[in-house]
Amino acid sequence: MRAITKQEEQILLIIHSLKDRAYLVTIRDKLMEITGREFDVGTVYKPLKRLNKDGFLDTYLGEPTSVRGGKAIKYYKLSRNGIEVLKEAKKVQDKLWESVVLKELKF
Amino acid sequence: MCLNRYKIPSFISKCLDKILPVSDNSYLKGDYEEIYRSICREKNSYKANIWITGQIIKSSISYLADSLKWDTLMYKNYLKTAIRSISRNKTTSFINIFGLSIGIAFSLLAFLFVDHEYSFDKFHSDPDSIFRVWTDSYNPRMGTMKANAVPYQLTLDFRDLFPEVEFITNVANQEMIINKDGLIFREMVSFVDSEFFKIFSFPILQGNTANPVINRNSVVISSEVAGKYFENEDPVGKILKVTIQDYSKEYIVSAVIDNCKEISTLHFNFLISFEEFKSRLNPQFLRGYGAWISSMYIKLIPGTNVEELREKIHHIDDQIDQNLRPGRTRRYNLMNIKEIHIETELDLKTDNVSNPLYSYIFLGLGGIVLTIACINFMILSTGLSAKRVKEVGVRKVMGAYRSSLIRQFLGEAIIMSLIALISGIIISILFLPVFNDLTGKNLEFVLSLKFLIIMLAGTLIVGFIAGSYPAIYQSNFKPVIVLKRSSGGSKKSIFIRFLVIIQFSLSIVLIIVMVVFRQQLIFLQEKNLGFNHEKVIEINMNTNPANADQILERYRNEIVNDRRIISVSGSSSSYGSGIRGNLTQLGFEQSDGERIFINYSIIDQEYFNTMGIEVIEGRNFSKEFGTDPEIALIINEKAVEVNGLNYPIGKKPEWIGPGSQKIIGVINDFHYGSLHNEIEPLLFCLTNKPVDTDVLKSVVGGWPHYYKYALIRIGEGDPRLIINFLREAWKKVSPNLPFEMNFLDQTIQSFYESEQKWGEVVNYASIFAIFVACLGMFGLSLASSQKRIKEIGIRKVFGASTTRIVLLISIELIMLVVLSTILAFPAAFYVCSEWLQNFAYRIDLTVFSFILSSLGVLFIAAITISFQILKAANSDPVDAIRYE
Repeated sequence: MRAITKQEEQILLIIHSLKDRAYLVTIRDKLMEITGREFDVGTVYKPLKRLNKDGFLDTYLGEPTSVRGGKAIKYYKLSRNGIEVLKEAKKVQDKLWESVVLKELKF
Repeated sequence: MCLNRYKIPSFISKCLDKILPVSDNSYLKGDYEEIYRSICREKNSYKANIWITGQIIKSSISYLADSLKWDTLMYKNYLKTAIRSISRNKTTSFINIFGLSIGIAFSLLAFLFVDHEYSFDKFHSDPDSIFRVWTDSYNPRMGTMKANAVPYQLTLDFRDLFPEVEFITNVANQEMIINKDGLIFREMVSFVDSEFFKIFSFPILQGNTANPVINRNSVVISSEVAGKYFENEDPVGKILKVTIQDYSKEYIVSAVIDNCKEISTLHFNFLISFEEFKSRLNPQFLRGYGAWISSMYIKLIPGTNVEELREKIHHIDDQIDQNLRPGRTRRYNLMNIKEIHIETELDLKTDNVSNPLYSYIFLGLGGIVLTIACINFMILSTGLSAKRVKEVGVRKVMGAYRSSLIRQFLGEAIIMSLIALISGIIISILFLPVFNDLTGKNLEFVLSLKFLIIMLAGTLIVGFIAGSYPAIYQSNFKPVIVLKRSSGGSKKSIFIRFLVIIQFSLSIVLIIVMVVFRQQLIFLQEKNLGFNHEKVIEINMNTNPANADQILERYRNEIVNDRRIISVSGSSSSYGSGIRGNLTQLGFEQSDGERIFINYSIIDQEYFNTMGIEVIEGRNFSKEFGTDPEIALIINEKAVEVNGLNYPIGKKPEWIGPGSQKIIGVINDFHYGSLHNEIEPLLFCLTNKPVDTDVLKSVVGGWPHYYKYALIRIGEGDPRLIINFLREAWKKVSPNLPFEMNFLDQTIQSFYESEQKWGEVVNYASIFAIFVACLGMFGLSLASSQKRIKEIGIRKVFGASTTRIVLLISIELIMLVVLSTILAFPAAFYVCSEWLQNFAYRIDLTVFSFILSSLGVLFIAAITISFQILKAANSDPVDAIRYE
C-alpha cells in the first residue's frame, strides 16, 4: 500500500464527508469551497482515477438524470484500503503536530 | 426550467467525446454537463461556454501527450515487427528491396533526364515575354511548310506595326572560317542586332558588359570557343579573322559570354553585328518579302496581352505583303522561348532541339521497371503472408482494428521503399556516367529541396501502392480461422496471378523490342550499301568556286604518288545524313507535263573508282573523251527504272532539254545516305554544262558549282599516319583553310547513332525488367514450395518421383509465363512495327524472333524457379511431414 499525496488525502476526506453524495461534481465543489481555489475537472478526475486504480476508492453507478443530459453518475466511496490509508495519514499527521503548539508557531 | 436552453453546443460536445477517456466517457460527460448547467444558471451560457472551452483546451494538452505516448509505443512496436520480419525473411526482403531500388533508380534517372529537358531556356529574364516569330506558309505545289525564318522586311515593319514589341533581333547563322594566327576552323557565326542582349540573358563573363555587340568591327565569343582559340590568354581586344569564300575581315573580340550550352536551346559561339551580314547582300534583294535570311526574336513590353498580339500577327500578311501570288498563304506565328526546345519541326541544325518523345520513352521505361518492382513486392508479400497469419490473428484477438493492421503493413512497405530509395540513389549514382554517355547529357545529382521532396513523395507513393494490396489482403484474415489452422491464407488469389501475368508481359514486350532493335541494327550495319565504304576519307575543302578545281588538282598531285593513297577524287556533295545525303534535287518537266525529280551532283572521273561503285552498263567518264564535260550523263539503275528507259546508253533523256547530252553509263544502285530512306534516282555530270537551267522547274538544296569535297581511298598502313600525311599536304596546298576530314564509315555510323543509343537504353531497361521479374518469380517459387512442403512430403511418401513433383509445382508458374507471352505478342508487334516504319530498309518481323525471345524468357524463368523447386522436391519427406 503506497503513501498518498496531500491532494489525494484531501479528496479522500471529502469523499468520506460527502457520504453517498460523492461524485466528481460534488467533490470538485467541496474542494473549491474548502480551499478557496479554482479546480479544473481534469485536475480532480486524475487523482480520482488514480486512487480508484490503486484500490483506495470503490465506484458504483447512480441513475441517469436530466440535469446531466441523461448520463449516469459515477459515485465514489472509500474502500477498506482507503480508510486504512486515511488512518495511517492521520497517525503520521498527529505525530508530526504533537510537539507543536499553534500559538508558538511563529518565525 | 428549460434544460434545452443550457445544452452544451454540439461542436464542443464532439470535442469532449474525442478527448475524454474511453472508459469513463459517459460519466465524465455527464459531470461536465452538470457543471455547465450550473454555471448557466448562476451566471450565463456565455460564461459557461468560455469555461468549458478552457477546460477542453487544458485537457486536450494532456490528451495529446497521452495519445502521442501510446502512438509512439504502437509505432515502435510496428517498427520492431517490421524490422524483425525484414530480417527474418532475408531472401525475400532482399529481393523486394533490390527490385524496388532498381525500379527507383531507373525512374530517378528518367526523372533527371526529363527535369533537365524541361529546364531549358528558363534562365533568361522574364522568359514569358520572349518569343520567336515563325512562318507557316502554304503553296499549292509544295504544300504546307513551316519555317524558322521570316522575310527580312518583316523585321523592319514589325516595330511600326506592333508598339507592344519592346526589342527585336534578327539572328542569321552562317558557317564561316575563323582564323587566329594559323588556328583555323570552320565555325557557325551568328549575326545579331544590337538589341540581342536586351532580349537574351546570356551572362557576359569578360569585356564590354553594357553593350557587347557595339559596332561592326567587334565579335562576341562564347567561353566554349575562347579556350580553343586563346587558351589562357585574355581574348578581349584580340583579333579574329573571319573568312567566307572571297570575303575576309578582321574583328576585335569585345566580350566573352557564357552560352549556357547545357540549358539553352539556342547555341551561340560567335556573335557579329547583323549589319555586317546585310552589307554582303544585294540591297535590292533585301527589299520586299523575298529575303528569307534570318530568324527573328522579340521581347514584349511587360503586361502585353499575348493572345491578342498573336492574333494580330497572324493576320498582318494581307496588309503588308501584296506580292504573294494567288493561292499561296503565309502566316506568321509566335512561339515562346520555353517551347522551342521541344519543337522539332522548325529545327535548325545549329540549335539544341530535342524530341519530347524521348522524355516520354524514358518516363515510360522507368514506369515499367517500377511497376514490375511494385508487382514483385505485392506478390512476395502476399506469398509470405502464410508466415504472418498467426501474427495477424493474435493482433486481432488482442483488439487490433483492421485499420491499424493496414497501417502496420503499409508502414512496413514504406519502410522497405525508403531503404530501397537509399540503395536506388546509390545505384543511379553508379549508373549516371553510363546514362550520361547514352543520352549525351551531362546530368548530375543536385540535392535540391524540390528533388528531395519529389523523391520522398515518390517513394511514399511507391510504398503505398506496393503495400496496399498485401495490407488489405493480410489484414482481412479471420482470427478464428487462422489461429485454428496450422497454416492459413493458402488460397491463391486471382489478382496475384493477374499481377504475375502483367509483370511478365511487360518484360517480354521489352525483351522482344530489344531483340528486334538488335536485329535491325545488325541489318543496318551489314546491309550491302552498293559501294565500298571502308577506308574512304572525305575532306571538306572549304574552297572558293574560283579556284576549287585547281586546289583539288594540286592536292591530288601532292598526295597521289604516295603508295598508301589508292585514289583521289572530287565531288560537289558530301556523303551526308540529310534526306538524300547532301545532293541537290532537280525538278524537270517531262513532255507530258509530269514533273520528274532527280538528285544531282558533280563528280570527277575518279569518283566511281574511289567509291567502289560499279559501272554496270556503258562506260565511266573519261579524259579520253573531250566532250564528256559538255554532254555526258551517268545515272543509276533507279533512274533507269523510274524513267522507263530500256536501253539508255547513248540516248538523250527528253526531259533534260535541248542539246546533245547523252547517257554514257549506268551505275549500280548505292545508298547515298542512311537506310531510313529509299534509293532515289541519281544523275552525275562532270560539270554543270549538261544541265540546262532553262528547263529546270525547281532546285532543292545548294546548286552544285564545283568540287567542294575530296574523296580519298586509302590503302594499308596506320590510318593516323596517313591522316597526318594528308594534313601536312593540305597545309602546303592551302594554308589558310581548315583541314576537315572524316571517314565515310563514321558518317554512316552517325546516321544510326540515335538508334544505337536508344537500342542500348532499351537493352538496359529490358535486362533490368527481366531481372526484377525473375526475382519475383524466384520469390514466388520460394513461397509456393514452402507452403506446399507438407503436400510434397505426402506425395513423396506415396511414391511420387522428383520429376513429377517438379512438374507439379512448376507447371502453374510456367503456365503464367506462357499466358503472358500470348498477351505480350500483340503489344510487342505493334511497338516494333511502328519503329521499323522509320526505315525504308528493314527486317521482316518474324514469328520466329518473337517465339525465340519468349522461349528465352521462359528458360530464364525456369532456371530461376528450378533451384527452389528441386530443393523442395528432393527434401526428405520425414522432415516435411513430421508434426512440430
